Amino acid sequence: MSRLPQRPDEWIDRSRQVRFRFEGRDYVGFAGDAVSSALWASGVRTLGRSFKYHRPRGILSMANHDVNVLVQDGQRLNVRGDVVPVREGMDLTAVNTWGGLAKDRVRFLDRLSAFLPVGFYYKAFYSKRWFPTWERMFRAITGLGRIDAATPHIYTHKRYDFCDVLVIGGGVAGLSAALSAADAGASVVLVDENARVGGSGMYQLGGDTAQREAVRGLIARARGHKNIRVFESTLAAAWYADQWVPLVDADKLTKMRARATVMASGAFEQPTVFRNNDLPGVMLGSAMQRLIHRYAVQPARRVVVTAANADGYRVALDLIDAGVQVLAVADLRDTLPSCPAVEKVRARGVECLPGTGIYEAHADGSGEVTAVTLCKVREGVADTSTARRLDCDGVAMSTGWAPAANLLYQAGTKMRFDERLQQFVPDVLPEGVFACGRVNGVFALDSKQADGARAGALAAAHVLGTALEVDPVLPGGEAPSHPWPVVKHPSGKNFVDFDEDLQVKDFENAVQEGYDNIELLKRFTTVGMGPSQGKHSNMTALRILARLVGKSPQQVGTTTARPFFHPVPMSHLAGRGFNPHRRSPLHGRHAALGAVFMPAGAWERPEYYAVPSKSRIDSIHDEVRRVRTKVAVIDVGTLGKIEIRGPQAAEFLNRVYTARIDLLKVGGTRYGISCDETGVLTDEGVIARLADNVYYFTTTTSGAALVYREMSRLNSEWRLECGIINLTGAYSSVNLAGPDCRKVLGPICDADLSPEAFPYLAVREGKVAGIPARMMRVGFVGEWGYEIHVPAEYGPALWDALMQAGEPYGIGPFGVEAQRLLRLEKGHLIVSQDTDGLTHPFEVSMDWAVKLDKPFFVGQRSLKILKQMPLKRKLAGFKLPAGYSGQVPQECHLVIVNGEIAGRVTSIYWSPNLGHHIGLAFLPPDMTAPGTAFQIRVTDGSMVSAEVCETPFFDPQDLRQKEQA
Amino acid sequence: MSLPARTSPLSDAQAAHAARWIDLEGMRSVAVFEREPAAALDIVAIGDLSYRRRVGVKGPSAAAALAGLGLATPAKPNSWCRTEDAIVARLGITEYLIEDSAGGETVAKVLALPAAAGVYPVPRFDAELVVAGPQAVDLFRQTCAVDISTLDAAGGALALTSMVGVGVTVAAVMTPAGVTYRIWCDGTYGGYLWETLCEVAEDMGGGAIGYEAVARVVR
Repeated sequence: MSRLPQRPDEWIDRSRQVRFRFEGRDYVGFAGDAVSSALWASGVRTLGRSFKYHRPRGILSMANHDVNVLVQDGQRLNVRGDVVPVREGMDLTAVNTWGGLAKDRVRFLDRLSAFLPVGFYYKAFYSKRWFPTWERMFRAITGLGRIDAATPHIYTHKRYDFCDVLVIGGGVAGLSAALSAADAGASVVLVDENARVGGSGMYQLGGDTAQREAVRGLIARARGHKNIRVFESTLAAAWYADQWVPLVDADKLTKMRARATVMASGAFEQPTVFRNNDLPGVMLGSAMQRLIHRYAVQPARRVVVTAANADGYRVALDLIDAGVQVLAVADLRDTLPSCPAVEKVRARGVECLPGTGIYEAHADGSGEVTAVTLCKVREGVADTSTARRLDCDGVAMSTGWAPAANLLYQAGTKMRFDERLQQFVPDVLPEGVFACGRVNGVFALDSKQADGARAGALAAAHVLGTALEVDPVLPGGEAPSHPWPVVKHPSGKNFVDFDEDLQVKDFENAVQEGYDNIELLKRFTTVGMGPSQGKHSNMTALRILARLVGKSPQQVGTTTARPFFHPVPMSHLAGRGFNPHRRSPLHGRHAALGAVFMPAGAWERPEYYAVPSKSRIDSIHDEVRRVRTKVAVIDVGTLGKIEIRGPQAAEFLNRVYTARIDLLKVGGTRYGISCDETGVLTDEGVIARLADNVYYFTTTTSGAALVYREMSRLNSEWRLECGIINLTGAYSSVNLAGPDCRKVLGPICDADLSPEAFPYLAVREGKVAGIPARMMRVGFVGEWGYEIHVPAEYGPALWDALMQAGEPYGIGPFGVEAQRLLRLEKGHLIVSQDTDGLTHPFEVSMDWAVKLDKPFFVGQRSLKILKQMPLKRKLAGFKLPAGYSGQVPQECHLVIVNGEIAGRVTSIYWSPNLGHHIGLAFLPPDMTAPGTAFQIRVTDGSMVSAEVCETPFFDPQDLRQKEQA
Repeated sequence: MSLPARTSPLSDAQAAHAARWIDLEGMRSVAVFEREPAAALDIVAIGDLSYRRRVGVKGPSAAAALAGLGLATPAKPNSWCRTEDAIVARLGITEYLIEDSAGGETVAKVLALPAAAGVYPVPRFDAELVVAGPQAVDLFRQTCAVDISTLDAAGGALALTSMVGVGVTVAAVMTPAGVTYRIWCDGTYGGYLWETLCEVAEDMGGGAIGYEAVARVVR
């Protein structure tokens, strides 16, 4: 056990023991322990295996910046041991092993590493035939956890939240920024991914208790401030335009909308690169400090520190305070600066060695660190004649940092590489985005406070609209990062990216092969593409590339930090889904009649009404038969319904539709089509003139919203004196059709339904069952019929009245499928089914509906040009031979002529009234003469013969619309 | 033949859960739901006010026409004001929604406006929901991207936004029970909106309330 006596501000609750299992053995930790700290306190130092070579791994960052410790917790995969609290009863196994962590059967891969360089799979496993085999093998070897298909769906909420200033990062700079902004009157949300705010101010102490007191004061003030909400254990995972930031916590995803963002996200400590720098026991200096101060765990007993900044000396001091023997501080810098931290370490009797680095770490039989070899190092090259071995069980790496600038990049910040700091820092920040603290190149405690206060004040001023000018806080004198924290070794295993087992030589090989810019290098080596997303590797990789190609880090640049920059559970992304759908006022009536619903745009429409003991198609044919022989009713309330009123309503519609709407008489209707500027057919409907200045018209179901929006846009340009009113949801509509429809409607309607008083294509206003109604005599399905429109709140009453009045005549409902079949029998096209995004009216024989001699309408100029050009295709009716019993073509099946695609089927049904299949298809114009035979290729590749025929297929003289029929 | 009963756009979504019905201005509405959470109003409750009669008017002369009826209109778009027996909401530069309070007659007067240039009546049969309870804002936070807590109930602010993907108009209304929120949407989206908001509210411990409970918080 290496648990230390109680530490001030430790995160563990020693009064609550937690029992758990790891790799089949029982352990005990404390509430508040992370999985890694509890295991480390129990003396377990090998906590995982690496992804590629299956090397033993221990704690590296203790901060979610690496994935050395990935474990499976029952059905939960890839649990990050460094940050996930240990829970009573957890049964954990390390991922990525075959046969357990200790006896991983593929650990031999480490010895084959010379044969598995970066990119080896691109070169070795490219065979198309064998690739699936290799892929399966690699997936099996390298899998990160095992998925249990029985895992229950975890329900996570999504929510929105709002604040004036969002401060990302709860360290000293972030706390100062939050307080500054809140004091100025802004509402502030402070988020930190750690379980507690305070940041490095609470663990990178270097024995300075005054620092801890100062940070405690900041935390207390922030928690008590009425304008500040503190979100802990919450990750700001991305930054989107307009200051949208997704915040991820254990239970949910919050979409935070801020008016200003302060990035106080700090910096990631970077590993020093030397041979065997990944052995368990070798960890970042900050990881050792986290273990000591957060979890009261002694990281090791005898430690060598490799340093290149004052932080390394503070690590040494904290280790000494924790009872650790610090054997030496090997400083990569040629000379040691004169600073208090160095002097304090020296005063504690620790050997401080300038110009010295770790040449190699040595492992014991279990693969854990047992010694290091120190050498004099210059420019990354070790003088092995100075080699000196020190036995130790721990190595602290503290040679530099990389800014946690992912969100700054996503926000569009221009970053520059500061040579003195050896760090990228914000150069030009986007409006409303501010940076402070380490991510801004400011590392000293006092400076971070000042920088945070500056950024917070600026953010508040931005939000509150006040003018404020504040001088920038200058970074301290010391470079916090070493320009070349790399020590070469002829035997390699000096790791840069711990996720992907990438060594220095991998980068050298990649550059040699021509992958010599940062984007190519990333893709070839996969550096930064693992679960850590380059937090501990990208900066060093960039330095290596810069040196290999003779450029500066500024010239090499950085890769894109895409949102989310840190992995989050899929359940958080899924959450509760919102899929709005519309229901007609008659929905309940349809459901009661056994409707089978289908989506139609946003609507749920009855596809057909299921009849017990009958198949779908038989049910549909029953509905068709009822329309043709008796009377039936369909809900057409999903059609777009728009009213235009005003003295220039006719002029407006004349400009929108291709027909002469101004000539339409009051009380009449007209079929109309509209086009876009290119002449493409966009929508169709029936236009009714209710009064001189009042028109009411329908659009297609799917086109309603678009048509209304486009009309509103057009009139904002034309400024005609008329009002456009969208009544789609306000009116309920049905189509009553069939030979007996007049008998049904007559008794409950106050309008004269005689053909003289109410002829075909007339519109009348009256009452049906006492309900004020607009009635149009139209015949989309080819029967005598009335489209009846009533206020939506009376839709069900109208339906009930019609069903009751029609009962003696065998009335019934019909659905979308029957309607489509019936209209096809009449040869009527459906816009967007029988047309596409290029179809113009002449291709579908609608020349009659286009009045090119009008002064203007949308698309007129294009249609005039198209009219002069030969058609490339034409929609034509076709039929299959009577009695055809082979595979039936389907919509979108291709027409093949001489082995080439010549057209396609747009609609096809078997007509119970005609006794054979009928359809519409786009064909070459010279093939549209009735009687022309052509071939349709069906799904299995076979050809089906069809013959062009005249439309309408059924009742070509439209006799059924007339009295004598 | 007299007018038949009006049907609420939420009727289909509510019917299976209704314990008792009530007739409100000719519309069959749910008086009490079967499993109405007793504490819904102490958490978050959703009720149906679709029975209220309403009408829209738009056009450049709409405000003048309403003024001719003695109706004051809000000075700014996206705001509402209360008259003696109605709410007048200004939805845009020249577009208004008028909704009667219980028993009001303003809507009938507006519907009787003579046809005139620049005055275009808009029939409206919206679904109307009321959200009440101390956690009402939290329900919006799970369903709406607008910070509804900033809607000034005293100042008569309106938000024209979307909830769960449905276009809505939201008004914050001060009541003796605290701030409640009125939501209007196209009636054909009403069932979906109702079901989805009820589901979220139930997760929070609240849920749907019938008119008997609604009447305690809405005037």
